[in-house]
Amino acid sequence: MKLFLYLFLAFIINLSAVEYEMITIGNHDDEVLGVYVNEDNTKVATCSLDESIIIWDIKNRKQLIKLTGHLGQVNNLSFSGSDKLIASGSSDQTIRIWDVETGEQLKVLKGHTDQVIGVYFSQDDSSTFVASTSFDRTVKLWDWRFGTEIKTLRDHNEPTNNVAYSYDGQYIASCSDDKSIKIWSTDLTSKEPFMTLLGHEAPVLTVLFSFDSKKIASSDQNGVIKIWSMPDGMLLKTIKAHSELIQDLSFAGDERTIVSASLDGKVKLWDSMTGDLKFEFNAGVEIWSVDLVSDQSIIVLGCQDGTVRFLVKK
Amino acid sequence: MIRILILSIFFSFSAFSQGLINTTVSLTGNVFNQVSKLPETAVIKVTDTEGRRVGATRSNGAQNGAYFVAGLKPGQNYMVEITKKDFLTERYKLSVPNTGKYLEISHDFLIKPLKVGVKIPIAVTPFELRKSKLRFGAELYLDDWIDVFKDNPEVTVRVLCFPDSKGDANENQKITDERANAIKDFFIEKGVNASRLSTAGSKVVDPDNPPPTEKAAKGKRYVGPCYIEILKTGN
Repeated sequence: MKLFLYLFLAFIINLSAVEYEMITIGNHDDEVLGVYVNEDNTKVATCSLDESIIIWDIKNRKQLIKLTGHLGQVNNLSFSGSDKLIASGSSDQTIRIWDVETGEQLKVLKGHTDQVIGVYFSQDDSSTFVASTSFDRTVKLWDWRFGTEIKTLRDHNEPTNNVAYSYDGQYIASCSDDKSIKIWSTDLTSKEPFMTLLGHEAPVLTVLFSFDSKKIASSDQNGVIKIWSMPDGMLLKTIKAHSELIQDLSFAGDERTIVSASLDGKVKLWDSMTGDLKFEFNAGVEIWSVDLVSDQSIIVLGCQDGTVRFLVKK
Repeated sequence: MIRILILSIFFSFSAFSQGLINTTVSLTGNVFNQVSKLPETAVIKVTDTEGRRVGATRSNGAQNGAYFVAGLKPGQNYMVEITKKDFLTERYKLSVPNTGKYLEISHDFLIKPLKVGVKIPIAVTPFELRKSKLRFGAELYLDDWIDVFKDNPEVTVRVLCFPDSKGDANENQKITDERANAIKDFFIEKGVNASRLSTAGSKVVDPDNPPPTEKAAKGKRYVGPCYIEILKTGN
C-alpha cells in the first residue's frame, strides 16, 4: 500500500513539475494540418485546410510570410536540413518546394495519382531528395532540383499516410492504413522494404525517427503510440496515449521525450523509454498537428479551429 | 603554357561531353486503369522532339503494370505516348535532367477506358468546397481532356458532378448543375464543339465515392467528385 502511495505521489509530483501556459500566436482560415519547427528552432511552418502555408518567427511569435499556390488542402510540410527550403504535400496531388526567405515557389513535383499526405525532406544539408506518401499507396523519392521522381516504392496495400527520413540519411519510414510501418533503404537501387513493423491494430497515421536515428515513434487511429528500436525493428513500448486518433508526434532534442497531440484536445509529453506520462494539457480543441523546440520550452499546436498555439514553459 | 592550358580545357570539355553522350537515362513505372485502378498492359512509345521513335515497350499487366524504357539522353525532351485498344491515348511530356550519371526516372501512368457508360473521374475536383466557379488553376486538371477531345473527334461525353454533402437536395442540384456547366463552358472555350458535351448535376452524393462518415484523418476532406462519362465512343 505504501509503495502504491509512493508511486502515486511521485507521479503527481512529476506531472506538476512541468508547467506551460497556452498562447495563441495567430491563425489560418481553417484547420491546421501540419506543424514543423526548423533545425535551429527559430521558425515554425504551419499548413492548413485553407490551402496555405505560414512561416512564423518563434521568438517574436509573429507571422513572417504566407505561401500560397497549392490547389487543395496542404496536408503536411517539412523544412530541409539547411532550413532554407520547405517541401509541402497537398490534396492537389503535388509536392511543392518553397524558398523560406523569399516565399518563392521553386518547383512543383507532379507524379502521385492521388492526394499527397506525407512529405519529408532529407535532413542531410547536401541532399536534394524529398520523400512523399499518398493515398495512391506509394512512397516516392524525388530529386527536387530536377523535378523528377527517382524511385517509387510499392509494398503498402492501403493508402500511405506519412513518411519520415532518418537523420543519418540511411532510411525512410512510411506508415499506412494497412496498419504497418515499412522501412526502406535510401539506396537508389533497392526497391523492396528493408523491414516491415507490425503491431498496430489500427491505421498508422504518423511515423518519425529520433534525432540519433536509433528509435522510431508511431501513432495510430486508436490513440496508441509505439516506440521501436532501429535498425533491429524491435518493439520497445506501447502506450495507450489518447482517447481519439493521434495525427502527430514529435521527438524532443533529448532523444527521449515525445510530444503527442490528439483530436481528444490533449497534448502530452511522454518518456519514450519508460512510457511514463510527464505532462498533460487540455487545449479544449481538436489538435491536428504538434511539434516542439528541441529543449521543450515551447510546444507548437495546430488546431481544428485554425489557431496556431504555443504552450510556453513557465 | 597557354597551349597546355587550352589543351587541358579542350580535353576536359570533350571528356565531359563524352560522359553526357554515353550516359543513358531510363524511364520506369507502372500503368493503371484510371477507373478501376487495376494494372494494365499497354504500349508505351517514346519519341524525341522531332517525332523520331527513341524507344518502345509494353507494360506488364500481370506484374502490376510495370514497364521500363532505356536509352534516353540527358538534357533531352521527349513525348511518351501510352496506347491500348479501347482506351484513350495518354501523352506525357518528359524532360530528362542534364545528368552525368546513370539515372532512372520513375513515373506512373493512368489510362482512361473508352467504353460507353464509363465514368472517368477528374483527378482533382476543380472547385472549392460549396462553390461552383472553377477555381484558380483548374486548367491543370482539365487541359488533359482537351487533347482527348482532339484525338477522338467522335467521342461525346456528359460532365457529371456530385455534391459535397447530403445537405439540401435542391441546393445540391443547383450547385452541381452549375459546376457541370462551368466545366462544359471551359471545354467549349478551348475549342470543343458544344454538341459533344452534355451535363448533369445530382441531388444526392456520389454512391460510389460518398463523403466520409467517421471523423476523418487528414487528407480526407471531401469535395464532391466530378466525372466525364463516355456517351459515344465512335468505334
